[in-house]
Amino acid sequence: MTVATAYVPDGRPGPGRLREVDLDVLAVGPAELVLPEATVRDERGVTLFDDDGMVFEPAAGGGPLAPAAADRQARAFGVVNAAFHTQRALRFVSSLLNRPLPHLVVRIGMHDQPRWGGGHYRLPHPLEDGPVRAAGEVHLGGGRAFLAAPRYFHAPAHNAAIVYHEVAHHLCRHTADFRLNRLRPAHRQTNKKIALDEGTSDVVTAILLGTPDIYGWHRQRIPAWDRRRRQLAPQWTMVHFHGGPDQDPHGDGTVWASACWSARERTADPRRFDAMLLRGLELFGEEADVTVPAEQALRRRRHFSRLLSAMTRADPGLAPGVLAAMAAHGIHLGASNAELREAARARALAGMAAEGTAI
Amino acid sequence: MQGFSDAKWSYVTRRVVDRERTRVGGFARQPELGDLVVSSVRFVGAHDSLENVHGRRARLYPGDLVVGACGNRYATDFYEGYLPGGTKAHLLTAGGVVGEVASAHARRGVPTELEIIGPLTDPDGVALSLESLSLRAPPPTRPVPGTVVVVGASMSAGKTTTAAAMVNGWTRAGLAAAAGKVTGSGSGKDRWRYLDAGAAAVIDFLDFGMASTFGYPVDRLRATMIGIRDELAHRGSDVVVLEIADGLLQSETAALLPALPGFADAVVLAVCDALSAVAGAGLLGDLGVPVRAISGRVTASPLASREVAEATGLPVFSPADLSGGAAVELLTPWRGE
Repeated sequence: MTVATAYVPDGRPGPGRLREVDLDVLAVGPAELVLPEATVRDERGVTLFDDDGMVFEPAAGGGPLAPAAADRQARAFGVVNAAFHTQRALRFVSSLLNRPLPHLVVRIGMHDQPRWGGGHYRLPHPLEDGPVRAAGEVHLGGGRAFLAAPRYFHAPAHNAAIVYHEVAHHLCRHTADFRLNRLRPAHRQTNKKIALDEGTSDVVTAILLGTPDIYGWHRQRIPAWDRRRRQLAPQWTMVHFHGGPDQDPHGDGTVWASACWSARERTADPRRFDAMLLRGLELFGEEADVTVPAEQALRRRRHFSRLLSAMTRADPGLAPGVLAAMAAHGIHLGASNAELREAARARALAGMAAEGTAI
Repeated sequence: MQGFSDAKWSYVTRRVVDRERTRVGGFARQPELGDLVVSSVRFVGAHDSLENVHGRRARLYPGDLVVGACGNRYATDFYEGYLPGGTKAHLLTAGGVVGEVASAHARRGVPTELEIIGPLTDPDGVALSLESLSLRAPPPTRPVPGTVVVVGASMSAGKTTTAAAMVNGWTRAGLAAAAGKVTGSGSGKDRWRYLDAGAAAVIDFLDFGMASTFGYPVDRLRATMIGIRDELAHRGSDVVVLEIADGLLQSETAALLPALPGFADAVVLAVCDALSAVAGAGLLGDLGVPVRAISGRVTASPLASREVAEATGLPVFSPADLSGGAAVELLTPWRGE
């Protein structure tokens, strides 16, 4: 184990508490850490590591306005911080699934012309910027904006929430496989995400952070009632679900994530819910879908109710409480997302009419 | 004529906050730069509307009462105009600068004619001037990370578009951006552009007592440039962009250029074509002005942009580049300081 510094989640809006942590490192390159379960690398061509260990200062995120030495320090911290959270997430997953996920590569400083402040999970496809490993990669931008009070250059590698969310897509790919990538040619995978994928990644992020306000740090200026904040604590229900090919799956995913978070909150042993969710993802992925055309199979795999069904089979004992919590969000077994949405809206309208609210 | 509640108050009167207490007085002396005056519209010419303090263009009709400020104008593509010598005057800008037209660009029509009725006064009959409403010089305050100045090779080279794009880029990057206009003729057009781009604060020469800067001593303009920067920094801005009007060869602009080294952390030159870029960058380089990039109307053409980059060796940023992230890159020269 190597002593390193990283932001440890403390349940508050912000990057977490800066602490010394143990990191299991197999090898160190000029800007790369090889872990048993992942490789984390800064792609911007600057040597970040020498023999002085893994203890670095965040340097307020570094960035274009920081002195060169501070920016280098911040980049080194970013690699270590991303490595810590990647390892933590993957070990959390493997402890619940009793198996490791395929080795993951996390690349930092990607797509930075112009500057990029986001993250994404990528599988091989001819239209991707350069080759991508078959098992999948997480790409993190170098950052493009500052956060206020105190000013901090928001480098995604400094933000555990972004790392967890993208690692959770790796989990989804190698369990539920919502888009049936395992049936596609290895070099022609789809990177299109659906609401279930985004929502599951958000709730896994919340579990690992210990807070439903997963993006409370870098989206602090977006109010909680705005879906773009992606705070799971408000009661996002199927009334708020949009659906359709032109919708941002992140916003619709928040409905699923919010329902999962409610269910977890109602469970006496939250870790049992976590296991139910992950085992449910595996069972979902094992469903064959061989008897229906591919388009129909893909459409069915978008349904929240289908993953909920898999979860209830994964832990029947927990099912009643989880089903009740999900029902409060308008999610029930045996219905498509559109049907759930229409039913939820009809109930909302009926409720408003009963209360005398102008419709 | 003391009840002038129907008067149209032009943009340059925006620092008059207590209109209800103002009056129309009698002339005790010849008009001076910055004097606020009440005029009657005699003939509606090229300027057929008046920009009010909120930016709305109010249609003008013969007989309308207009409140404006005396000043000069230097606009190679519009009017050359000077302080009025008597009560006959012209509307030099839609923003309410009152003067006499000396020459006009061939494309411009005859000016709108005004009859000056009298000075705007306070309740005691004291004539009001923009000078008396001016901001006091703020304490010296330098914004961190810096001050960027935009100059142009000529009028309509794209200076305001460039500066507004920088404001937008910085704002989108989470910085508190502010904008100032050092020289020019009273008009709200640029102010609204900066605010729309996300500027947290905007200050211009009007706030420092000038309806139009043409004809003021260079020392005054230099002090105004520093005052605008200091006031914007004092109001909490992280980064300030200042626009200097007209082209590099205009007399006031040329006189301000030697003050830029040591004041501006970076200068962006807006141009219409590659030859202007080469000449402008050379002229600024000779003065030791830190030109960081070229922008302006030339960036509408990728081919011309390439010519500029090859000829000057400087990065060429379009407004979209600046909004997208290049504005932050402009601040990087301070790395390591």
